[in-house]
Amino acid sequence: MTQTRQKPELLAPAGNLAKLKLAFDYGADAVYIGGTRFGLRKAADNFSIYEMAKGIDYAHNRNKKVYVVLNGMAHQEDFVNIKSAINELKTINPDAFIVSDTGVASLVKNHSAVPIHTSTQASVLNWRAAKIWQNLGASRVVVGRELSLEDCKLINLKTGIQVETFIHGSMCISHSGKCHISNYFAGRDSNRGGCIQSCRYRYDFNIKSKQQSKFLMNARDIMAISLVPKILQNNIASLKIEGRMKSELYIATAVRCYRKAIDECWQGLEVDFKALEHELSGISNRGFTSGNLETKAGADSINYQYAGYNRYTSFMGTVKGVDDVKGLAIEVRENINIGDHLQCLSKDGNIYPLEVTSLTNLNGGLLDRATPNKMVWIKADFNPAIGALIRKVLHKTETRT
Amino acid sequence: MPANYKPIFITYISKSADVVDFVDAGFKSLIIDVPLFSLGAVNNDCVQTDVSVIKQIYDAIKQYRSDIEVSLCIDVLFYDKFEKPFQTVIKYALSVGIEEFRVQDFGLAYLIKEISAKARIIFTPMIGYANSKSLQACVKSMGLSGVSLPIEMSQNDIILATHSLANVTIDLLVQGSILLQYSPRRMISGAIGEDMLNSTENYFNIEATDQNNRKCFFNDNQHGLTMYAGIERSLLKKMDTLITLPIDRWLFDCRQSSNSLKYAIKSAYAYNAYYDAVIEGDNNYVMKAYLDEFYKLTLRKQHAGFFMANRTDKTDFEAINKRESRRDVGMVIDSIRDKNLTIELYEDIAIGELLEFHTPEGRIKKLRLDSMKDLHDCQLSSAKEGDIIRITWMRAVVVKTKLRR
Repeated sequence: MTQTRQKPELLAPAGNLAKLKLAFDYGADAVYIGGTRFGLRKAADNFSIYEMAKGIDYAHNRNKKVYVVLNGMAHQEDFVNIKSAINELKTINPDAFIVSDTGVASLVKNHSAVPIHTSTQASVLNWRAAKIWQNLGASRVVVGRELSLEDCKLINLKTGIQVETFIHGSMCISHSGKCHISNYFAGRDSNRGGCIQSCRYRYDFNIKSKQQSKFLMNARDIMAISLVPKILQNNIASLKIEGRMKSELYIATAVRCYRKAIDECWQGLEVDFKALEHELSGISNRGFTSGNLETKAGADSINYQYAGYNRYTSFMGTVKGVDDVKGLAIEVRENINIGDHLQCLSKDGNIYPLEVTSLTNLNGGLLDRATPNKMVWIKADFNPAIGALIRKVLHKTETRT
Repeated sequence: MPANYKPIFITYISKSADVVDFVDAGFKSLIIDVPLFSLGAVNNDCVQTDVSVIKQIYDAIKQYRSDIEVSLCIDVLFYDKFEKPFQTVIKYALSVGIEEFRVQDFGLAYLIKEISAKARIIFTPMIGYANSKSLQACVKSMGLSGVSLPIEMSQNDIILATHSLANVTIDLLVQGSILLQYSPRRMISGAIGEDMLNSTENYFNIEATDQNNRKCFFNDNQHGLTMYAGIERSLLKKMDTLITLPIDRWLFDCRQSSNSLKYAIKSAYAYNAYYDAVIEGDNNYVMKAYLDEFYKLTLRKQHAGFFMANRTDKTDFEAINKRESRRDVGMVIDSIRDKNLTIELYEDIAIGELLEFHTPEGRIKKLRLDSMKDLHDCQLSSAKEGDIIRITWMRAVVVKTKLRR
């Protein structure tokens, strides 16, 4: 089968409306969002139907796409509401529903013309499984995170279905969707949005009478930016960044880096992957592997020693206003002190240094320090667009539990 | 099928030497369990590729009792790069006379149907598909002959599902281990050293801490890692309810026991005896003799699992409805006491509007908007979505307070 090579879509997470706009502003082609029901992130802000409509308008006005997750594994009682939810959601024109349940898929197919994307929770690992989902109405499969690029390519070649794969973010330790741990330990069903990440806990065990205690199932994150050139050769329709509950800085940084890598590779330019990997390792992560995209994830894909996060950049705030005299009006997220050397992550892709020489509140009162949930003016010699993010590069990598 | 029809007992078998014991215990359907293709197999010969054991077991069963149903378990997940051994085993099984296959992977069901359109496929979803609509869609799309119901289904869900699945064999796990997770990664081998990665040894009885010391146990083999609950499902004490459900086959999965044959036999005796007692209305029947012996074998606590109810079904719909209907006009992002509140707008507003301030503590304050400024202290008569406005400070209104109309 001859296929025209297509530039893959960059798909970002959006836990709320502000993050949706941010993801698009920093270069995402599409975002995936969840409503208050039937998703897999009950703890995220999530969107009301009204906010979804606004987000979809925002996207469509920029020729971008919004996919709505309905990927909880439904139980019988859920069907009382799913049909009405589908009917309501289709009126706001999402670009696809992401589903993992065959019953939900059949409802979507029978009651709407909205395209169906099969969720990674359905554990599609081979072309025949993709074919069955295609027969159920799916135009795309988000393949299991256990697949290699070669596996992805074969699925597309054999079926013609669009293939979406994860390229950045947290990894499930189990086969996607094949996990009851959270349900067993906490009565919260991970397949219905209640995952408490029990896999990240420490487990004690005995082997041949030797007592051990390790974070047995603490999967490192996937980072596949250096694989973008190979990805472009493998007929993959969409590259997905994980993290609907992650911060604005995480989304902006990840989207910006992958946007740059995809665009430059597509144009045949030399890409400085080392610099991009360094940039990505600054945002919250559990250490990285390339997942299963190249070789099967082995022992080095698990961080047995601790379950915390690493980062070397802090999200300090968001630019909410710009004034030629006063500088930048910043909504503060972490303490900012006089003398701090910050950076502004601009939407145009540039990074501007920002030295804090003075801090004033919005009424002009001088401050020694700015604390979270406050707004301050900081003098700056550049004018970024509203919504640009302010970060601080730490002297060394910080770990947090 | 009429209610109170005695279901067929079905279990796993991995050795031809066990055939007589299983059949004599009352099992009328046996699932051949070859470690290379079966997720729950705990035999140390996990890497063996010789599938002739399938024929040995099949022949032994048919020679002893020709009316015993025989199926093959192929419930691992399936990758295209490993298609060849799956094709081989399916063709081999068909050639020796096996017509029924137990799978959870959609693609594997497809592959079996490619090889033999007549093959009977029993769908064994480890997790999910726990509703009638999903199962109906699976039956139709994969051409299934049967479904082994997911453990997540409560008795009420089982009734609904079975009513909607006509001409499909329904299995239900009544006794045995509860699979919590299936991972392709060999986490235990990885934790104890690279040199163990290719070991065929399996590891058990690994205890979880930090989570109220609840127990779980792992198998680590060439399939990756399977994790089981430290409790087991047992519906023996729910017999009154169980016998009213239109289930065709009661599944006993005793493979994770230290003596799985004995465990399966004792389970079958206990279920048979208790079934007969309940059917005969002997409510005073005491199973103690069976139970004592039976529980000694299981070692793990016995629970009904989700059979009576699934507590994750309880959702706070009131809270969800509130969130679904919310329409925020903006949010307070700065407050200077006695001076100003700064608000980020999510919608356009104009002077004269009546607004409600919903504080994070749940208080509601109302305000007729009579004045607002921008960040540069210019008076505004209206403002747009995305603008930052400043208004006079209000007591109790703090940062993160939402504005609504």
